[in-house]
This record gives sequence, structure tokens and C-alpha cells, in this order.
Amino acid sequence: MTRLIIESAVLSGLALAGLMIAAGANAYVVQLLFSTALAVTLAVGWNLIGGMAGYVSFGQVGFFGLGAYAGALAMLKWALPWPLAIVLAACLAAFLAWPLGRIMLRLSGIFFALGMFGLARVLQIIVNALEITGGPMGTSIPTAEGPGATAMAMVALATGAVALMMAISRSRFGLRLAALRDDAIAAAAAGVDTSRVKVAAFCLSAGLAAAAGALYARNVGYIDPASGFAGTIELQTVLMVLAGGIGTVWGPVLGGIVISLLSTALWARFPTEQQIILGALTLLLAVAMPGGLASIPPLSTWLRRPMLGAFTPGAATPAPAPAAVAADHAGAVLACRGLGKRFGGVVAVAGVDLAVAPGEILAVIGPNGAGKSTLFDMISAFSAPTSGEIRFRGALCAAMPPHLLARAGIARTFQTSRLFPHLTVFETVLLAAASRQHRFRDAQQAASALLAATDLADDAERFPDALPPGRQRLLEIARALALAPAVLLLDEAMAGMTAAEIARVHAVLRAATRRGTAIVAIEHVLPAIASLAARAQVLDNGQTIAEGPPAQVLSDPMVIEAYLGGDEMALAS
Amino acid sequence: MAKNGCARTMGRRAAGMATLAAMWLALGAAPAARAAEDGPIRIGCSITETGPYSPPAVFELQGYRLAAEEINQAGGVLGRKVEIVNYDDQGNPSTAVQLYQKLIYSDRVDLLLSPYETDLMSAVAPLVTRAKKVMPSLGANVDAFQGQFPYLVQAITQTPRYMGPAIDLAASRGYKTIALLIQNTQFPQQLARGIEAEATAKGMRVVFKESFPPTTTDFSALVLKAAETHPDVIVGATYLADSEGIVRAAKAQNINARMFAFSIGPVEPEFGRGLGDAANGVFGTTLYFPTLHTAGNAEFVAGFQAKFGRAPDYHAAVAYGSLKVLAEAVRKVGSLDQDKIRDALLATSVDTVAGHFQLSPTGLQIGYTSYVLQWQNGRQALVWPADQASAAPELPHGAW
Amino acid sequence: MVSIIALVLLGLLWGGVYLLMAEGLNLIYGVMKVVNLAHGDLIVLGGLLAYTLFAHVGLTPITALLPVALVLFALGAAVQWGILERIPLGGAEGELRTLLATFGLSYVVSNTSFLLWGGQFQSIPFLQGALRLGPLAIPEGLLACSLAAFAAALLVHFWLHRTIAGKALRATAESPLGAASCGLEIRRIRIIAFALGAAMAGGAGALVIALVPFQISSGGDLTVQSFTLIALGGLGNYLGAWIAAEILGLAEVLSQYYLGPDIASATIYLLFIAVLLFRPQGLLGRLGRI
Repeated sequence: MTRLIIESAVLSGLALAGLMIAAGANAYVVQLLFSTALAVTLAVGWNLIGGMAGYVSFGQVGFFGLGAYAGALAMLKWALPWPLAIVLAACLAAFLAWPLGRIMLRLSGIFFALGMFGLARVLQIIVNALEITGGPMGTSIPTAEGPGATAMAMVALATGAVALMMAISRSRFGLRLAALRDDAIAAAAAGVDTSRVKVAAFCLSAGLAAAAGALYARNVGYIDPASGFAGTIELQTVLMVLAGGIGTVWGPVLGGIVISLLSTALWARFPTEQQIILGALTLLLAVAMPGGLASIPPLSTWLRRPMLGAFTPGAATPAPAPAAVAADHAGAVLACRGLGKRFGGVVAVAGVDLAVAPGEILAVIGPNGAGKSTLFDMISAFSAPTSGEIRFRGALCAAMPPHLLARAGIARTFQTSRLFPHLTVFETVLLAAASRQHRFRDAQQAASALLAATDLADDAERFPDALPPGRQRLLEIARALALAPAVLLLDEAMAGMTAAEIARVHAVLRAATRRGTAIVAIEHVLPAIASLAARAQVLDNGQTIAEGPPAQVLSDPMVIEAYLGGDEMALAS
Repeated sequence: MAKNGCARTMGRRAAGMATLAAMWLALGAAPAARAAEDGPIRIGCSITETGPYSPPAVFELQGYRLAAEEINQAGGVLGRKVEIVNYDDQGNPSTAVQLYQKLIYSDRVDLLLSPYETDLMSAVAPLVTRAKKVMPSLGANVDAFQGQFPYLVQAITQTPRYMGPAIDLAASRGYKTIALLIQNTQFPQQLARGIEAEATAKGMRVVFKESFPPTTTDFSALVLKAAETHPDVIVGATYLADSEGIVRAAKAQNINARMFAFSIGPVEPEFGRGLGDAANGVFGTTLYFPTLHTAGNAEFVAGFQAKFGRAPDYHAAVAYGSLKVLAEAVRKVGSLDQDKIRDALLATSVDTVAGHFQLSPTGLQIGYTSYVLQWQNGRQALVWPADQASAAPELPHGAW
Repeated sequence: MVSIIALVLLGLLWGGVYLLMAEGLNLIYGVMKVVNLAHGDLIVLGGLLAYTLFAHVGLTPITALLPVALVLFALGAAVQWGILERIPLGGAEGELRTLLATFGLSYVVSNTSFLLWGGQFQSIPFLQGALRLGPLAIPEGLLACSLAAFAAALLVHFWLHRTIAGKALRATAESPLGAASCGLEIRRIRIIAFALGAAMAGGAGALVIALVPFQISSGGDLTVQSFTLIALGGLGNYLGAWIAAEILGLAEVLSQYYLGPDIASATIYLLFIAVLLFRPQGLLGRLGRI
């Protein structure tokens, strides 16, 4: 809370200083102010998609240009008052960014970055060819009387942008963004609609860039394709964000100011070498300080993403009740029939039937490469089966994306644990709880209760890296349980745990089954789950080779045969 | 105009980072000098002194400097010396906007001169107009001089007239048809309209017209398509890289015409260096040539050579001319009253080193024209109009 | 009829030029999974070096090829050894840092070039004529570049498949860990790969500057063009890159002729985005990877 007060105070101080300069100083100084605020706005907007969502774009300048033209035309053709034209430009860009984002954000990494570059180019070509935009000649816009009003608007926009980021970093949306950036698959498994979250970030980012563009056009009084879509704007923005600290709230603000000061000093002394020095500096930054200024020790603590909520001891709510469990007529909550998966010519899973009833624990065992994890990937919708069907509560769930399935009640863990490096233990559980709870406060209560139940409360504010492997596994189970699942899929969840930890997990799982949760547990070795499971199903070469009570299954000759040569010791142990 | 539009659109990489640099620097170093009545008359401008777009702009700055020096040697203006206050905009329009803000409101200069080129000029035009400051402008575009910016007067040949004499030369040889290739950026597009108007006036026909984006590097298909209309003349409204590209494509595909002429391109020495023998016979346009028989040109060339160790180019000439004309207008008015200076400029009709300077009532340049040069034996020769020519045009263009 | 044949021929030849410029980037990506954002600037640097050798020493681009490639090889080795080796590879973080580093490098290279050569476009008059084949004219310069592209592709292929060093390089591309456990010195291999990629970029520049005038800021677009090409082909895929280059060349020439140059320039980007979305593994998928 104090941190929020300090940040707000700094922001209001900056904004106030900006407004006073805009109102009082001579036109030249006001112009400087305008440019600084413009740089900050662009950096903050870029950072939202490039840093917070983790989708580095080389084409956000496309939205800047779009906004500049939209604003200019709204002022010219419809004679809208300029503040309205700017709002309109921002809305238009955000609106267009939605379908574009749905398409483009299927790409990632360098592909998304350069795909966006191409898109901005196409936009520039279109603007260059249109009559209404003045084509390559550009278009003049009725100029402002003085720069004062536009500078004030720019300061307000920059302030609003930073305030927006402060709010986002403290919201459920911010938490989801952080999870998305760390691990999109794990985020989806925690019930996060990753596509929607990143598209929303993309739209907001586009809107900010467009508003900045419209104000820029208003301020200069002239816009042409070359200056509206100038690659330099993009490059400068990226550099400032990186120098300040990508993905943080204040890094872009810091980077904007420091880079400007620095390049000024360089320009005064070495006008011809300035660019080389800046380039070399970028290089150096990449090699030695990738986190930018915000990663320098005192700053890194101050500027770290604020932690969301905190563990409240003795939270009243118990772990949330699982979604009302309904079984199909045969009594199974989850039923797979003839499930198969082939990758090219390789058959990973060949017609597996699997059913589990509410409150039941089913162990799925089998040697390496038996198709166990592929089976889970299909059930949790991370990969589509090539044959067969999956019924959840009697209904087919073929077209459901992973996050919806997670919310509907099928939760899972991963064979190699997928935790979010930048989310605390509490936040990790909170993320999943927030997928089920409409009110954020309820989600915090639920997360606290779950941490207490899983014995992770002492680690609530630690990051996953700081936990021993066994507790990392435990955290992943807690994250899955936070979804209050009807079906819990555990993929070798107890590998690497100490005996004490296993006992704790068993207790937690038993509690879950008492509430009606069905558990399907993959184990490479049976003993880890044997004492819990009522039933075991053995897979080999993608097929079920035995099924029944664990003791009976273990003595099945086919099972022994399957393990022989590879891993006979595993059974014995 | 010699700056290549292609590079321009691509993004002002090298010129980039300085946008903010410029303003901080200027903020820290603001001298806040106030013009004393007896101090020098301070004349401000921003010039692209560094970065990839600097070479022509540096010529311009040298033209201003030489003119200022000569004015001071002749006793100055209104009994005061003149002094040029200039900053580096690195070819970036938004930097230029900030620097003109500084010149006007912080340095409070007495007079303004123009940056180079059109896009920088277009960017500062609204601001200069808002401040009601006269500015002899080195922007060739027509639309800035239609009355929208009453304090701007055009001190360089207007774009549509750039290739008038070249078309005139073609018509004088009885050529009838033109294929027109246009870079799809501001200046060449406006230029193309002038070419079409001039051709129609001279009884020629444009049989092919196509524009291409500034990023184009391969002109093979375009030239092939143009050749299918069998034009007498192939004209490019182009810059350096694309004129070279078109000549290369024509030569490599053995596409012939009676005349090849380009707006910008052949005027640059790099055109001859890059094309070698293929440059010979190609026509180009310039706004000035050291051998011109214009008023005071011999002295200008000698003075420029002595001061800067090289021959002046057209940027230097028009810049030199614009400061001379401005000083003359101030002298006539007898004060620094901007409105009166503007009116005096509009009434000016005088010969400068670049030709006859005369303005329309809205400040459009209607005196200056252009000159046609041709690459002959690896050198540029001024060939048209006949009364200024240093060599005869070699026509028609032989087979490649 | 002649015209359509001429157009297809031109398209294929320009495809060769594009391929020539992209090969170095493809090699570096193939081995290290790194996109060198300074690639285009290295091409321009190679071209400007060749220009200087032509203007002051009188070397033709073909003779200048070797010295230019050597200079760029040394530069590339220095960059990999001094800078990129110091960034841990792998993951989104490693990718971002490498992009950032090569982005900084592109600034250093292009602005140092500016100090040395100025900002004007430069070019070399070389191989400007045409071979006649009946009514067809085959531009010599384009032909030379296409042949060079082909030769470079063959040489790289031979080197990768027939020599120890090349096999080591391929092993590194397949699995850095595996290669290391076989006792191959990964670090040296990566340095050689980057240096070779830089040398190929420089060599390409030395030839292409005779076709397309270069200026110090041309580099950015060349990087994007080359990347588009190798992404179309499937990053690190040689056969794919070649096919993609021909498709790009043909699309460019044919759309310039039939649809107009403005649309032609947009088609390439749209094609790029479409391929990324619908065939992210490139045109050929896994076929033809090194």
C-alpha cells in the first residue's frame, strides 16, 4: 500500500511539473516537454505488449501512423474538435487491433516482431496509395495556436498511460499477463484465456500509440507517410524500453528520460560518433545488463512488479468446493473412448479407453514412451486426438480450448514442472483461483486457504526457483487444485519428493477426493501412488495392457513383460 | 532534392536518436541572447549537418555563410552586421520543429532561413506561420505556397517546373511520345504532374505512366512494360538510386529510346561513377550549374571555391540567392517588420546566380526555372536551354 | 509470348540475387538459431568495401570478392567471439538479448560506414550488358549473381556434408549438447559459422552493389528482405530458401508487371505474413534442413 502511495506521488509530481511547464514556459521548452511526454507514452505503450505480454513488436509504429492519420482526417473532414479526434483515433486503432491481434498473436518471437514490421509496411503502402490521406504528399492539419494545449494533453496522456500500467500491475489482468509471459501453456492450464489476455494488451498498446500519433500530428500540423510510419520512432521506443527495463512499470519512463539525457550529452561532444556510441551501448546493455536500468540493485527492488495480495493466515474459506460434480449415466465424470494420436507415421496412443468416477483415484502407469503424457495432453486439450472421443460429465469436449476446460473442471500438472519464474508462490495459486472466483477478494481467500492446506504458507512470498524440487511439485499441485477441479490430472507429480512431502500430498489428495474430485495420476513407478489408488491402468506402446486393482495389475505377466529389459527394477522398488 | 527519397522512407536510422538529443542540448545551452538594437542582425535556421542526409544541406549552409560574409563586407544591412545562428536537425522533421521553436521563442532571432529539404520545410511551415516570421523557403512543393502559409516565400524552382526545359528539348527534336516512371513519394509525384502539363503544352503524349514505391530495387519488369509502348523518350521522376536502376534495367535488357531523362540522379557525380559508360548520353536536370551566365555567377563560383575549396552546387546557389534576396528586401523596407519584408519580397524581381527570382502573389516561385545537363564522355555538360549551354546535346540516344 | 518468358527469366534471376543476399543469414540461423539483425549492414559494408577497391585500386567486384569476404570473415569472428558468445543462448531471453545485441551492432556498422563513405548511394559499373539468346536478353549482372548464389549454396552444402568442420557444424545445429558431448568444440564452431555467414553477406554485397546502389541506411531493408526469404523457406532450410527466393523473385517481377509496382511491394509482406501464419515451418517443412 505504501508503495502505491509513493508511486502515485511520484507520478503526480511529474505530471504536475509537466503541466506547469506546459502552461508557463516559452514555446521551445514546451516543445521539449511534448517530445519527452511523447517518448514516455510510446515507450509505456510498447512495453505493455513487448514487455509485459512478452510479444516484442517491430511494428507498433503502424498504430502510431494510423492514429496520426485517423486524428488528422477526423479534424479535417469531420471538423471534430481535436481532443475528440484523438479519442476517436485511439478507439479506432484499438478496435482494428482486435482482429489483427487475433491473427498476428498466433506468431511469437522474431516471427511476431517481423510480421508486425511487415504489417506496418503494408499500412504505410496503403496510406501512400489513398487519395483521402493526400497520398505521398501528406496532409496539413489546422495547427494549434501554441504548443501549450497539445503539450498538456500529451503530459496527461503519458500520465494516464503510466497510471494505467500501475493499475494493471496490481490487477488480475496484470497477473495473467505476467503468467502469460513466463509460460503460456502453464497459464492456459491455470485457466487463463491467453489469447484474450494478449489481444487485450495488444489493443491497449495500439490505442496508446494511436493517441500519441494523433497528438503528434496535431502538434506538428503536418503528416506524411514517411514521418507517420518512420522506423526510427519504433527503434527509439524499443531502445528506451530496453534501457529502462523491459516489462516493468517504471522502466520505460526511466529509460525515456535517461536515454534522452545521454544522447544529448553525446551529441554535444561527439556529433558524428553519437550513433556509433549509442549502438555500442545497446550492444553492451544486451551483453551485460539485459534488464536495463531497472535491474540495478536498489532500483530492482523498488521497481519490481508489485506483489499481488498476500497470504492471510487462517483464511476463513476452505479450499473451494469443486464444481458440482456430475457423472454420466455410467457413473464416470471423465470418459475417453478409443482415444488415439499419431504424429506423422508414429502412433503415440492407439485407442485407449479410460474412465474415472467422482472421488476415485486412478493410477496410469507404464514404461517410458508408453503414451501417458500424450494421453494427458489430449484430455486437457493441449493436443487434438486423431481418433476417439473424450466426454466430460457426459458431454463431448472436442472443441473446448485448454483454459475453458481448466475452468470447467479439468486441471493438470506437467511432467516437467512448469512454474512461473516471476510469480510468487501465492500469486501462482492466486492466478488459478482467480480463474474460478469472480471476486478477486474471494480468490485471495481461496489461495490463502489452499496454501495453508498444502503447507506452502511459509513460502508464500518466495519465487519458485527458491523452492526445492519437491515443493515445486507441490506448488504445481496446489495451482491445479486452486481450480477446484472435478478431474485432476497428475503427471508424475510426486517424482523427486521426500517421504514427508509425499505423505502431505497424499493427505491433500485424499481431502480432494472427499470433496468429489476424481484423480488420474500418471506415475512411472507405481508405489508412489499405489497406496492411494483404487485402480490402476497400465499402458504400453499406446495401448492398455492391463487394468484392475494395483496389486493384481502388478502381478500381470504382460505388465512384467512390458517393464522387462527397460525397467524391471522400477516395479520391484 | 538530391536526397534520396528511398532512403528517406526507409526510416531515418542514423538521423534518429537525435530527436530528443537536440532538445535537451538546446535546453541546456540556450544562450538566451537578446538582440540588442546595435548588435548584429541574427538569422536563424536548422541545417542537416550530420547524418546520411547532410551532404546537400552542408552545401546549403555554405551558400548561406558565403552570402552573409559578402553582405557584411558590403557594410551589412540597416547598418548592422548579419550573423547566422544554425543548429543541426540531423534530417529529422520533428527535431527541426523543435529547433525552429528554439530559434523563434528562445533565441529570438531577427530573421529566419529555410532548412533543407521539402519535408523539413513542410514540418516547420505551420510553426513559422504561427509566429508570423518571414522565411524564404527551399521547399520546392507547390502546395505550401497557395496562401496557406502567408509568411513563406519560395526561393527555389517550384517542383512542376523541374523538367520543363528537358521536355522542351525533346519537343524541339520532334519527339512525340513519353513513358513516365515516377517514384511514389511527394516530390516526384508533383514533378510528374508538371511533366505531363508541359508535354501536353508542347504537343507530346504521355503513352505510359506508372509509379513505383521508393523501396524498389528491381526495375526490370517496369522498364520492360514501358518499352512495350515504344516511347520516344523515357522520363523518370526519380532520385539517384532509382535513376541508376532504370538505366541499368534498360541497358541490361537492351531497351532503347531516343532520349533518357531523369529529374534527380544524373546531377549527382555518383551517377557517373556508378554507371560508368552507361551514364553517357543520359540527361538530367539541375537548378544551377557553375558555367551559367547568370548575374554574378562567376564571382560566386570563385568566392565559393576560395572559401570552401570546392565548386558550388545548386543547393549552395539557391541558398546563397535566398539570403541575398532577403537582405535586399530588409534594406528596402528599412526595418525588421516581418509583414513589410514579406510584401517587399513578393514585389521582388531580380536576377540571382540561380536565375530570375520572381514570386506570385501567394509566394510561389515563378521566375526560377531549371537547366538540362547531359553526361558526355564521363562528364556533365550543360546542354539546354541553348543560351546557357556549354555543349550541344547529343541526340538521339544510340543503342546500348 | 517473349515478354512472359522474359519476365519469368528475370524473376528467376532476381530470385538468385535475393538468395545470394540471404545465404549468410540462413547459415547463421541454421547453426545457432540466431537472427543477425546486422546482416543487411554487413551486406552494405561488403558492397562499399568493393566500391572502394574498385574506385581506388581498380579491382572488379569479382576480384574484390576474396579480400572483402576475408575482411568480413574477420569482423564476423570478432563479433561472435567478443560479443555474442557472452550471451547465454536459448529461451526467449537469449533470443531477445541476441536480437538486441545485433540491433546495436547494426547501428555501429552502419554509422561507422557513414564516417568512412558518407551518406550517398554508391554503385559500380560492372557487367551491365546482356547475353543475347534470340529475342531474349539475359542481363549479365543478374546472371553472375545467380550463378554466385548457386555456387555458394553448393560450396556450403559440400562443406557441411563432406568436411569434418562442416559435419561438426551440422551436429551443433542438431544438438549443441550432443555435439559437445562428442568432444566437438562448440565455441570455435559457432565462431566459424558466424564469421562465414558474415563473409557470405560481405561477398554478396560486393556483387550486388553492381546491380543495386547501396547507401548506409539500405541495410535495414536488406535484413528484412533476407529474413522474409529464409522464413518462407523454413529457417535454416537451404532447399527451402532457394525455392522461396525464386518465388519471391517471380512474385516481385510478375506482380510488378501485371499489378503495378505499388501492389508488388505489399504482396511480398502479405505473402510473408500468410506463410508465417499458415505454414510456420516454412514452405517445405522439415525437408531439406541442414
